[in-house]
Amino acid sequence: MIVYNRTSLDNMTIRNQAHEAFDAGCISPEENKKISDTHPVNFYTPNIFICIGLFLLTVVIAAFSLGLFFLIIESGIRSFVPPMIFSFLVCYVVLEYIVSQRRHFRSGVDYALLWMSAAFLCAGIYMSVDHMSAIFLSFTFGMIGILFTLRFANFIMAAVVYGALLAFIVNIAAELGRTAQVVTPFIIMGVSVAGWFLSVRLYHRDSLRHYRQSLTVIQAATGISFYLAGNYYIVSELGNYMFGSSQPEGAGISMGWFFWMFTVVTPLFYIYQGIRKKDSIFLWTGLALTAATVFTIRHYYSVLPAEWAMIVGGIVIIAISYGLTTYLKTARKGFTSRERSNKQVLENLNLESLVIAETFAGSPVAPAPNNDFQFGGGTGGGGGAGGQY
Amino acid sequence: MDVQAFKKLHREGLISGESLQKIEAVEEARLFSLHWELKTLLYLGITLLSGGLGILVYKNIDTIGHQDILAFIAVVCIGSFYYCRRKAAPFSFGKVQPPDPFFDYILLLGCLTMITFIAYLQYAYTVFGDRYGLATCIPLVILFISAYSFDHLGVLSLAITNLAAWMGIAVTPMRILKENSFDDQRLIYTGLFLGIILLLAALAGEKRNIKKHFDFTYNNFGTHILFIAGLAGLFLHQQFFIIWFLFLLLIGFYVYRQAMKKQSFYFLLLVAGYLYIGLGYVVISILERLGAYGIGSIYLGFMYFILSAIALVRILIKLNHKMKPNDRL
Repeated sequence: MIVYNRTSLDNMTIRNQAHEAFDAGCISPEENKKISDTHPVNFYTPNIFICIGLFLLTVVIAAFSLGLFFLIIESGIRSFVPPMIFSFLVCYVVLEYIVSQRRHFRSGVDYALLWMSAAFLCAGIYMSVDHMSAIFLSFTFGMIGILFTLRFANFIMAAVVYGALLAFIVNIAAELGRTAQVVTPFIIMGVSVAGWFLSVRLYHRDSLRHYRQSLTVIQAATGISFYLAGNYYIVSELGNYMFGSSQPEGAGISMGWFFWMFTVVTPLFYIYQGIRKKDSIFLWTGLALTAATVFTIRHYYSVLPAEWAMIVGGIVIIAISYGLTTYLKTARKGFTSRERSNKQVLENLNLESLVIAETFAGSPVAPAPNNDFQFGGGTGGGGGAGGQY
Repeated sequence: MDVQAFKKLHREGLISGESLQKIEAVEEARLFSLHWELKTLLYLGITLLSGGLGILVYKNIDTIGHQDILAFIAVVCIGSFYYCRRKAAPFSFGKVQPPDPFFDYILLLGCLTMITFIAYLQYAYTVFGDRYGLATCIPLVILFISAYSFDHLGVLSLAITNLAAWMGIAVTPMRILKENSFDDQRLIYTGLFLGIILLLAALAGEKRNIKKHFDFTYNNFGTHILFIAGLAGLFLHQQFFIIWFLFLLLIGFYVYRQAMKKQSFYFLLLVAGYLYIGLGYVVISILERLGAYGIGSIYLGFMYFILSAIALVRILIKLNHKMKPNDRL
């Protein structure tokens, strides 16, 4: 099913493990090398930045090649369907060739061709049917997504499949009528819970080991969809979407108390689970959804003026963070506030300092440059501006 | 680390029993790190607090009075710098680790309140009169001094942004293209000047061994601003485009050399991307002049993009191969 060479995928996992162990100082350099030698990886995987470049260039090449082709044979194209299907076939065949013969693995070229062929196929099917219903559309997206996920184990595609599934359910419920409105949130919650258990279970199945990344993404997605299904704002907006906004503003929804409770409790439950099980997926979704809950509450009730809410919230968050950081400086109960040793590549980009410059670059650009405004020849500071006046 | 996998490796005789024991011991004592979670929270809290205080002051400006606000800001600022002065590790030209996790934020707080203080002085009392240059120059100097003496990359980025603002350019990632109008000759030359200064600063720091690890920040800002100003010059001066294109090549060559020396894929991608845009512009404008040939030149344009992109793919793959042995950023 999966297009990538399975032995190479397995060997890569082992190599990564060995690398981690080597970084942690557990195995000797010789052992690390011996493991690498006995576990050959037959993939072309360039550096992440080269991957970005290759992705963009592949899109350029494909777009201009197909464009040139249709420009030359333009004679009387009446429908867009054949060109789309043709483009899909070209991209897909090249993708298969690149991956199986040239052994590209996450090189950027395969990503670009994967998404382009999926998009062309979806567009072709969409255009071939007059007035395609939302149900059929989400069904098509889901099916195409499943095929691509199984073949290429792409985790974003896996998330698309899950999204299509939810859209499918919501749109079917919208067709069914009044009773469906009350039940839809619970159906989605049920699907999320089932999806979560299923993905956790499949994650540990050895035959599916190459899809673990996709399954992890689905796990996070089910966590989010479970919360959203019961979020007060989403429930009331979804009701409006399905039955038109027949209700006056602020009329509330049926079982409002339940959804309010759900909105507040779920993120806290996620954080609790994350800490109890030392599961960073739960922890991060919990933290992010807490923010969503705060916004939901503030959307309906302005408990405090915004600035006071920000000040109080800021102080509380700083206090929590400060307290925990100091408390966990010496590891307690298996937790630490210290950094883990293995560094990630992207950390070296100094993203943090860019974020600081972006959010806090308070001083605006110097106002309207006068013509006589000259900055001194690099003598620095005061000399430049001071000497002039 | 997956202990089962290592047990298998041990059975295959690839790792010694001692190594396996080490791995098992490490896994047993594995700690769950909340480092980034707590840091994100701290950052969020500070943003909320400073934003909230800002709005509060803004709304109550009539009742509070300028002196009170100024005094408050000054107290926070002096307090932060005092804390940093006391806690900071002794100065060194190398990299200095912060004494505790909050040090970086408190220094940042001090720097930000210092900027606010001076801006406020100017706003409320126009202390510097029309000399805006002076009003932005003082914080800039203090920022650079703080960045070097306390070894803080964030403050260095702030200092560079302020230096650019002093010259009249916005350089933060989101605003560099939005808020600058590169139709302006003066802005282009300022950009070139600033970019060259920044690249030279990186080079000098490295040669003299003064805060070597600042070089990425300098090079990053410098390369982007230089290339963007160079491209703007290319677009604006149609009649001299050859000169501007050669100039871009020159910058590209310098950055390429630096990238190869430091084994940096990031800068390699920048060179490739910016030069590709420049070359594309030159080719298209030449084809435009040959526009008399009608559809033929459109075909040529398409062909150019296909072939050049394929060529660039090959170049990138080759360069990747060349640098692969010590794969880093």
